[in-house]
Amino acid sequence: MDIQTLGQLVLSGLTIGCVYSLVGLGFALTLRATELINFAQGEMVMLGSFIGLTLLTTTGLPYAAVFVLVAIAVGLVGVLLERTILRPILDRRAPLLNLLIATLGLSIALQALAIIVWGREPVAYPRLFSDEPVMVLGLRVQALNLWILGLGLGVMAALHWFFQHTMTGVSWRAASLDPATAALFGVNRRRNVALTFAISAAVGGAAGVLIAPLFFASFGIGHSVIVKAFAAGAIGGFGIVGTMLGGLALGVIETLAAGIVSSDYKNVITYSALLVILMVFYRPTARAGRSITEGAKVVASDVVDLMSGDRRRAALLVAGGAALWLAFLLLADTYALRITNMALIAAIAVLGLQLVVGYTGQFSFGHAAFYGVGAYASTLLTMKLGVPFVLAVPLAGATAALAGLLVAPVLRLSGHFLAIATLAMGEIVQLLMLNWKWLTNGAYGIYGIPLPSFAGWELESEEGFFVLISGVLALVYLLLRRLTRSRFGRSLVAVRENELAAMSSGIRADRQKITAFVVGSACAGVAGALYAHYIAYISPESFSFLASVQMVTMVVIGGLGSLPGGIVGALAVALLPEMLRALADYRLVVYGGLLILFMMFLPGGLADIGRRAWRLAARVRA
Amino acid sequence: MTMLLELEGVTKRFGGLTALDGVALDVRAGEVRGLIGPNGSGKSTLFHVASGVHRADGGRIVFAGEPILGRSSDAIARLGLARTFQDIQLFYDMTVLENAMVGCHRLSRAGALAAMLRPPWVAAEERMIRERAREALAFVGLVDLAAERARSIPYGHQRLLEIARALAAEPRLMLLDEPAAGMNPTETRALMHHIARLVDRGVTVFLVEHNMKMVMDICQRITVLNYGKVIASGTPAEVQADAGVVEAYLGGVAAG
Amino acid sequence: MLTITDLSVAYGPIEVLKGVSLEVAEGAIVALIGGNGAGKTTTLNTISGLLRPVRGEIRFAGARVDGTPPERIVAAGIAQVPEGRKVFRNLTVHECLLMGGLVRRDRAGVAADVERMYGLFPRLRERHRQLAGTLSGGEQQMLAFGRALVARPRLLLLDEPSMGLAPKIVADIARLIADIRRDGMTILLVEQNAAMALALADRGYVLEAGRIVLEADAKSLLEDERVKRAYLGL
Repeated sequence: MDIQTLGQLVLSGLTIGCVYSLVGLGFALTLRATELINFAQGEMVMLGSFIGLTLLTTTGLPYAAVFVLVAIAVGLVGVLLERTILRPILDRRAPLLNLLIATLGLSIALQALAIIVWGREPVAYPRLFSDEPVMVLGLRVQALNLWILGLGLGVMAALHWFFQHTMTGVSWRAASLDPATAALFGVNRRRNVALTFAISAAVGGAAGVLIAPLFFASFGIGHSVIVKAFAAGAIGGFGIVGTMLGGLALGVIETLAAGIVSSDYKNVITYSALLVILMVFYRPTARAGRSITEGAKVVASDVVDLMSGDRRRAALLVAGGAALWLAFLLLADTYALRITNMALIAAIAVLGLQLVVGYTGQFSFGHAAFYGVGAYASTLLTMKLGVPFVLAVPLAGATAALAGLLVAPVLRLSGHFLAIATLAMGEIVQLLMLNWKWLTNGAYGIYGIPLPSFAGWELESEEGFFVLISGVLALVYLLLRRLTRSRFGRSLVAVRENELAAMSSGIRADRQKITAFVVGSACAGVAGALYAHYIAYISPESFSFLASVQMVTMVVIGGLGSLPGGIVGALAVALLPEMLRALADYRLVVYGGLLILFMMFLPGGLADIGRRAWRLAARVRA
Repeated sequence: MTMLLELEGVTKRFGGLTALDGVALDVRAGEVRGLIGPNGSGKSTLFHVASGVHRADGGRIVFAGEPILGRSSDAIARLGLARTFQDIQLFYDMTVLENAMVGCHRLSRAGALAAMLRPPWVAAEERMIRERAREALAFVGLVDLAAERARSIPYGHQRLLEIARALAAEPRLMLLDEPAAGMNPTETRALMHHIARLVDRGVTVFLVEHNMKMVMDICQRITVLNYGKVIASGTPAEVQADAGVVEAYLGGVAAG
Repeated sequence: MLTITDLSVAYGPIEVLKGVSLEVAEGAIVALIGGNGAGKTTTLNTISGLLRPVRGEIRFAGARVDGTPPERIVAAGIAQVPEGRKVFRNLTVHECLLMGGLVRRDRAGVAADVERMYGLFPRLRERHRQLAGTLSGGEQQMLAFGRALVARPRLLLLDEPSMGLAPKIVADIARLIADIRRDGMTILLVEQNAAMALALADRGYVLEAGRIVLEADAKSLLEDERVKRAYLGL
């Protein structure tokens, strides 16, 4: 490659890097002021790009003016969201996981709103500047790129000045390090958090105006940049200047990777680099501190355990459940059976995730990857190697377990860093499914996956699937129930509650985390295999980040650290959109809103309602 | 007399600060050993280093005949070193009994597979864990609170629960980091009684404490740290008579 | 100047202060001594407004201040030198001192006071552009004092200023406290180093497990057998 091309690549890398820097700054500022990773940061980018588009097309204002106006407007949105949604949750000292889910709910609702207002199709920006390239330092550059670079660097310079030379900026830095001592000298924590959200949203919105003319304005634009923006922060140690430089570096690396290696593997390289950086520089030592589930009122040996203790009651419950199950099997129509079957498959995967997140306290935003590995494994085993179904499903579970073991080193990370690492891991797996076309047929997916068959007898009716799937679910539930009520289960909860104390009691925290993760992945693999043979078609799309998020949501809604909660959560979250179908376009707005409300008012999940009801009943009886 | 824990030239730095500076000391099997010194003198750091929470930068640490420098805290715990923390570290959302049951971890072995298949020995082991945990709670008088959340019991009881959890591991050596902190005189007296009974059970006790009366009354030997260095070591009487110790504690008074 | 009556503070279900009453007269140094976990820092943080009491009241210069947010407390004239110094490690020495004057409206006055601190602590002037985290323990303590003084308090809360410092530095700090008092400052001094605290103070309180168990003028506490045994290591 000649120096000219290299220069062009570096310059366009810096341009896109500006966007990563700005969005990454939003992450970094929020993380430092509130310990929160705000997933809705991506939607600030989206809002910025759409508001910018609207202003450009309706007012005819110049690009730079629109840029400033959008920053202000989205900054105000940030303040509004902080006031109405995030502050109440922060004030309740909700568990970190609940906060994450709330920002995810916000992200879903904002995307759905954007679809209603601006439509589902990506929209191109009007032509802003002449396409005639300008010569800078002997390089041919588009005027647009210069503007983006100039505005982006300008904002960064302004922010740097603000944090270094104004008393508000200085006190922000003091408070981000030590809020209690800063409060002693008069930094109002709430005002500081509000300021943080304002700035984060404003730079996110500004980044939206910068990135949209390069691509399109679309509702999903935020999702495409947040992982990289987070990577920018991680590279820069979440410092202010560090994040700025991190974003620029990432932009250059990524553009060079695309130019030199292949654009198919561009993101695989970026995400792998992120994983490496996290693993090398963000390995915390065992510590006490706040567990992700703290305050969610979870206990391994559930306070309410209807199944143990009283044998007659347990027998009654089992009999009642079986009767209900039989009635549903006989009376439900095909449609009801179909959506229930899907929900029960999800429940199998969610039970595995419950073990990882609810019991062991490890964030995982990549569970769908193992679900996908299971689905592909079983599909390929049956279709290419002719392995019978009854063998293929456990083998799919084993393959997913192996994949889990392979990525288990990420479990050395903790909290948010683990969340992002698992997210990147999930994206990598999905990208590999897309790129290994010889094996997976790429984006087209695989059709005609054989139906389950047992010794020549083929299963095809919805009823048959219902029996099969609920049977597997019951088995998985039983095994995990035993697992969690044991010395092993207690050690998982001990690690979640206090890793320092757990290790000082002789527990190998790392090994326990890995074991839980592997078992959880196996559950996902089995569920994925059932899914493949049930739907008879798989493609990478089904195993995206959003699918992972949905599973985490099921765990949290059901109640952290409760196996029945996991099943109920899976059913509720899978069936809810069906019930909201009448709302059409507003469905996801309501869905996101419900998530937020849930995190605000029922941090313990549905299992908590059960526990409260049980305690109340006990009191009434006494 | 056998040495249970030996430290030699142990050094620990945090950035520019030298928290431990060539510390040498040994704890004999069966004794109650005290570690005193002004705040910030490195006592907790010494405990962290000995229990593997922090890794020493240099020196030698031998526990029960095994060199343990560089081993993880869980590995050291499995060798029979149990500890409590200055800022209490419990499993707050678990019950009091479950906290003590976790303490038995090193004495039991059922893993994930055994838990799922549940052969008969697992049930027997689970019963053993439960009994030992109850016994440890009874030792410190917490058995009535077994079903309570650790979060909801009073501060003094939380300290005792930490000791019960450590005891449930049937350790050879127990490190107690300021066990009497925040306790009232009655609770402190009860605590001293418990510590005396620990020794009767064959547990060696190494403790950091600010309550001088308690240290002088129950320790056979005392080591004094100041600025990460051992400045004195000996019987309570010897230590009290040591000019360097008086100087360390009374520090700037003369000038003030 | 400061009157605390029947103050109780809890973290969740656990009560840390159980009905503490104490009084600090204008111009006096009052020492509050006790072991770790006795509730000394909790007392100071409640006065500073970081914690809300469950019972009892705090009056400063006649007005009730319990439950008032910390920024109003510092504006009202109570500044704290926190335990472990707690300088803002990522800020420069100069920025740390400016933080002391955050709630003051007269920026010129703040600048003059920062300059005064440089006069008082020439070491800080030499290092004014250095990050606070790179200072030695003694220098950090000077910075923590300077930061609190820039707030122009009428009551200074000192939380274990001797902690982790060499005897020579502790002597410097003791002299500094005496000097500040001579300039008319009222001081509530929390210490584990009971000898130092009682030598400086006019009056002393002994806190044990959240309760005041002894209260007397400082000289007689120094002579008290219980205090000698428990806190002076004699």
